[in-house]
Amino acid sequence: MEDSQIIAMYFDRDEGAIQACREKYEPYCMAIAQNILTEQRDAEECVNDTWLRSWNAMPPHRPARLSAFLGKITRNLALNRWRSRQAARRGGGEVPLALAELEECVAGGETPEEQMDAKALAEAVTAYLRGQSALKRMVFIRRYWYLNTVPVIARQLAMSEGKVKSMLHRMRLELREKLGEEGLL
Amino acid sequence: MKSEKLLEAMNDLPEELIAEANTRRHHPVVRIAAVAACFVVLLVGMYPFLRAMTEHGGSDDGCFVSDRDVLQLHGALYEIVGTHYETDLERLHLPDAITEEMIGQRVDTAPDYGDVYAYVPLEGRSGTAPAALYLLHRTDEGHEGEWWYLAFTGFVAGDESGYAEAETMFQVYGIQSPADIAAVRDRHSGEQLLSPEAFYDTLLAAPSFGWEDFHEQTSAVMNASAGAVGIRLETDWGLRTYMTYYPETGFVKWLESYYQVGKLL
Repeated sequence: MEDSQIIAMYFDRDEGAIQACREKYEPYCMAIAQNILTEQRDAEECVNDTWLRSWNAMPPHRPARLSAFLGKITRNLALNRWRSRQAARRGGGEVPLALAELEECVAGGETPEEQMDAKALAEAVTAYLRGQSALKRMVFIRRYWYLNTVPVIARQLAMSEGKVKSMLHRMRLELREKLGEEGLL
Repeated sequence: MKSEKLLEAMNDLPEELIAEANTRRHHPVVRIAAVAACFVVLLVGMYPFLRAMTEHGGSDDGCFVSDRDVLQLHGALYEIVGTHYETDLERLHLPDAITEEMIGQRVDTAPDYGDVYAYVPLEGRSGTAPAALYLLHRTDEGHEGEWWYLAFTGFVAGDESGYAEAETMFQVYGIQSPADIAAVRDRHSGEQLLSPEAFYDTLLAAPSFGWEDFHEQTSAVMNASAGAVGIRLETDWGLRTYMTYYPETGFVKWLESYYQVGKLL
């Protein structure tokens, strides 16, 4: 079913929209959740919650890309769950590794977190990514949005792991520089 | 933890970037010579046909070239023009690996469409553009007679140090001379930026660089992308390609290649 038809069903408050979303995007959302969470049950619950959240969000929101919209919801839910699991020392998955890598993009020292406005950060990252080639954007977002592992990205994009790593490393340094220029560090 | 903040902030990335990152690439990259060799069967007189297509279907803005994305097919990189190809290819059960024997042939039938669709080489006005498209004739109720298509235009790309000379890039788009260029416009406003002759000659004369060399050359510039101008080059037979001009560094970026043009605008 076309995304536009599914969205129309949401706007018509047709509960079949959720089933249509499940059929079309469950594997996609599940992959996102599983990259963040180690527990299968946690991932499944996040994906199930995604359908409820999407039902509550549409209307009024009308996503331009349904897949990305649903993926965002799943990612948010999974990160929240990961955080609570982490607090209970049951976390894992790709998040700690991705966080450790992203440390290169942010400053050491004592800049308070409060100064990092999330919206400005997202805009700066977006601007940086828009200045990159499609391939570089793809690699970066697969690693830090989808939380795919480097070997998986390398396989998906027909690149060597070394190349993926070096590309990510260079991009992290560039992003750090950009964030510094914009006073976000 | 600040990196966690960054990871969270990335949730607000635009949906199109997130969707773009979820597209597929298939095979290693090869050079344009291999691409050109693949498209040996050219149909004559495609120009009026394509013009008819642009008038009877295609993308929302009425032009069959509306967006840019990248796909690897048949051992080469292609610029995807048209729609969200991956979903469409899957939905239509179209093979995503185009082979030489498919050229000019009916490939299959497609759900929601009539039984006529084919993969054909796309001939530029100059007759040399190594490009191709899936062509579908939509005959289902309410859409009878509507043409719909997924188009692919071959282009040169490589790794981070790879680049293509401007002459090669022009050839990819079937541009042999400034006369093949209809307009050089601001990508967003549509305003004509400069004459086809000036643009063509400037790009041909410009030294070419790959990504790595470009960054070496421009690393001293604090904000190399400041004031960047999106350029839309249009051929007079309907094809569009997009570039970016960086005034701070005097470079034009065309897909994966960089051209040191100096002051262009």
